[in-house]
Amino acid sequence: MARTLLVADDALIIRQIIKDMAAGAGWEVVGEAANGQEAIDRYRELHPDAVTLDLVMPEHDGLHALHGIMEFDPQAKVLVVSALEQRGVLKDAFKAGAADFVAKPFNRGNLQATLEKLFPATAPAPLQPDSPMDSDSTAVSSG
Amino acid sequence: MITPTTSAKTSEKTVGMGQIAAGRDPERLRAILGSCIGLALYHPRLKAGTLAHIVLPDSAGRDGLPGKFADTAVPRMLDMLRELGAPASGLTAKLAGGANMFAGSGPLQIGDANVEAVERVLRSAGVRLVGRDVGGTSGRRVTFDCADGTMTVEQAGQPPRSL
Amino acid sequence: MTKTYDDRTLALLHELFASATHDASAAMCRWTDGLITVTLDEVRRVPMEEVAAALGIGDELLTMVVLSLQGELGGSLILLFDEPNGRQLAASLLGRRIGADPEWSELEKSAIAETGNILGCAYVNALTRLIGADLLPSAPCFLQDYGVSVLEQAVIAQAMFSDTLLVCQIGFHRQDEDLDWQVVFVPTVEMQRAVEQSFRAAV
Repeated sequence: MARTLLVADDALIIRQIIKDMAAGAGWEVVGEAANGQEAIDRYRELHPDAVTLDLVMPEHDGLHALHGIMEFDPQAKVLVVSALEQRGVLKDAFKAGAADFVAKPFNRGNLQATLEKLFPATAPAPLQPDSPMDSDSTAVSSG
Repeated sequence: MITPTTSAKTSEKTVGMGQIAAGRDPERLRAILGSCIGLALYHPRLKAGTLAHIVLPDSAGRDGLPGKFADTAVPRMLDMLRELGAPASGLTAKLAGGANMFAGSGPLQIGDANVEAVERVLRSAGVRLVGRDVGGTSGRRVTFDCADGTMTVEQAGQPPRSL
Repeated sequence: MTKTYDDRTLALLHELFASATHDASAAMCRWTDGLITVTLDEVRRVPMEEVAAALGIGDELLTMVVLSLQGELGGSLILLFDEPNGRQLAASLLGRRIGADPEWSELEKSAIAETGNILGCAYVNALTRLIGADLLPSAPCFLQDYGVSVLEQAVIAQAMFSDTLLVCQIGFHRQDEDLDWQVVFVPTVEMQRAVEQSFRAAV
């Protein structure tokens, strides 16, 4: 059975990139959220195996979401994916229960590998190339 | 003091932040506004007007460009019109701007505060407000025509409208 | 020639923002797959009534992304393009040709907004490290409007205290070509003071 993923980021392009990467690596993306409260609500509804979570989001931010998710499920596996790379903020995120962190702009291979560490597949998943993708996918790559 | 820039071709003066410009028929006065207020005072018989680009509501006694604050701009505009031979009686006012375009680092709702301050100062000065186009979340380009006192307001994605 | 206090302050601020711009350039380079970098053009004080002209912002409509810095030390970061350049950047980020539809798709807007987010966060990360203060950015705001209108609101916090405004102007480059895009960073007065203090403490 495929591992399930919730993708939380206010940027449509980032959600698209992560969804494409995750689907290619054998994850089933069961939901998306564009702000922190939505992330909590969707987590409660969907119980995904893992979550990718941006920090800077409108209305309610990623730390708000992280607290809400961990309160609901102390075993939740949350991977913070953010351009905000500050010691104080990351310390708060890990203290709140984040499992790991990937900085934006991210290398897709690195993001995939970090997700695999969080929730290993029973069979090895194909690694994503870092080359530009086809016209149906976003082409942004980095890292 | 830097004076508003004039386009010689069209007799059009651009009024920057904190500035006030005066003009007569057929001159036009122009400003681009976000949270700021473009306030025009006009004497229809003499066809003379001023346009101020007001940035903040209240000087609280601080120095600054005369057009920067609502409470200093209006008295200065009245002086400028008097110098052009236009007394305060018979003047009309039009104002535009006061948008709130994004959640910035400055005071919240500064656009609304500017609108309120300008209208209050106009009431105290006894100048009748005959047109307003304020608020919202978009910028405005305003052109005030001293020939007839029309203020044309342009906003992205909308046809121009006249006050 | 003896440097004035303001000359020294501007030099300090230039040094700080140049360092932050170096980090921002690295982030931009990664985001665009090595295509685009940024450099600090100038840190200067400009009379309020001239600020738009000084930054080369006319009365045309522009595509912009705005981020505000939250907290005691504030500021605004504005990423500005004209329409063709904005569409071109979005297309290259999405690996596509520029769309025929004159209306921007949600994905194109998101590509530009995220560019602003990555740049803005890179600046915030660097400034936090360099001045030792917590700075947090807002979510990016995508706008298509008069550049002057947006700039006005961004400078309000400074305008409350002064008729001259401090602005940092950052340029974009694609390999050896200068691009007609820019970033304007407008720090609040509190941010300026914090920067000066942290530099003096470090000396």
